[in-house]
Amino acid sequence: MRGETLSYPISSMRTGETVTVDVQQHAPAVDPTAWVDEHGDYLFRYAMMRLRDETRAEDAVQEALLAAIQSISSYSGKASERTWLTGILKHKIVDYYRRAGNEQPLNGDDGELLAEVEKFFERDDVWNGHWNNKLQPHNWDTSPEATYQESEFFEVLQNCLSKLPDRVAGVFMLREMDGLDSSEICEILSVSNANFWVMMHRARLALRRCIEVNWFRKAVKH
Amino acid sequence: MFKWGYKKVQRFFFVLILKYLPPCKDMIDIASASIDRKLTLRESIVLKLHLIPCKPCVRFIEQSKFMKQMMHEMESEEVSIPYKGTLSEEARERLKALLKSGAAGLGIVAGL
Repeated sequence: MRGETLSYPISSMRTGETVTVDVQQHAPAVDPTAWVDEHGDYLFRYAMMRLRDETRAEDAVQEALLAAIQSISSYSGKASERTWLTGILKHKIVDYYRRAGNEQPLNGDDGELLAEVEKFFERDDVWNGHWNNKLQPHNWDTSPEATYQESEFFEVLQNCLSKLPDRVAGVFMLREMDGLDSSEICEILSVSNANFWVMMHRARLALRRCIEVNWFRKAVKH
Repeated sequence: MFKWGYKKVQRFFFVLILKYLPPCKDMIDIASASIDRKLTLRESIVLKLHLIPCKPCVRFIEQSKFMKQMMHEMESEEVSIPYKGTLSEEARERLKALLKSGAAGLGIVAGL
């Protein structure tokens, strides 16, 4: 997760050693040419979920596979091939966000989100800054069993995520999906600590609204 | 006679909190952060007070936790990856070719 530069050899990140091409000795029977058929779609979906763009996802998968082939000697066979490849892909995704973080100006793209989020709160004299009656969080019927089992819920969640600005979504996903620390995320995306917390709460505000409208519709009618 | 009654006292405090402490919009930052980090004493007192009368903010925190749980679920369960797309045929071919040449390269070096 914590690679320093964009072009490190993947094995040095994982084990601290440099790449030694020594396939015959420890490589368990690994056939890189079969990776695309066996894991390609899985890796692609994994990347799609986090990068939300086909070209980006394809690129990440390609980078990951190439990195994997280079560091094939470090694959011990302990983890399943898929887990190992996914781990490498994860690094590549973080790399993407690192690059994006360096390129975009801070706050470059969340003006729209701010405007949306501001609407959730009143702007009058009496109740300034309090929740708007209609847009406030309503009761969700979240009996876990019901929600877990419905894969449609995850589709809604995914759709709602895709509406967030790239960088906010990046922050939110690195935090909630991959469980990185705030300091790591700030470093990866080059955002300030204060900005990180702002992005988190805006992402949550927008997401919960989107999920409420698209999934818990019943609640909104009340 | 001085009749305050529990309900009235309660209402009085609610209004006090909502009117004189920061409004929801300014509390949401702390409410959201309460999920991710330990709040400072001051923050946590203000938040606790705010949450007493403020149902929507309580729900906001609950729902944020719920979403966190669901995000985690989405990451850990392969089956629940909602996106069902596949690699394009063209990308598939390209990747295969790359891997093939990569593997061939390794084979040569390893064979030495």
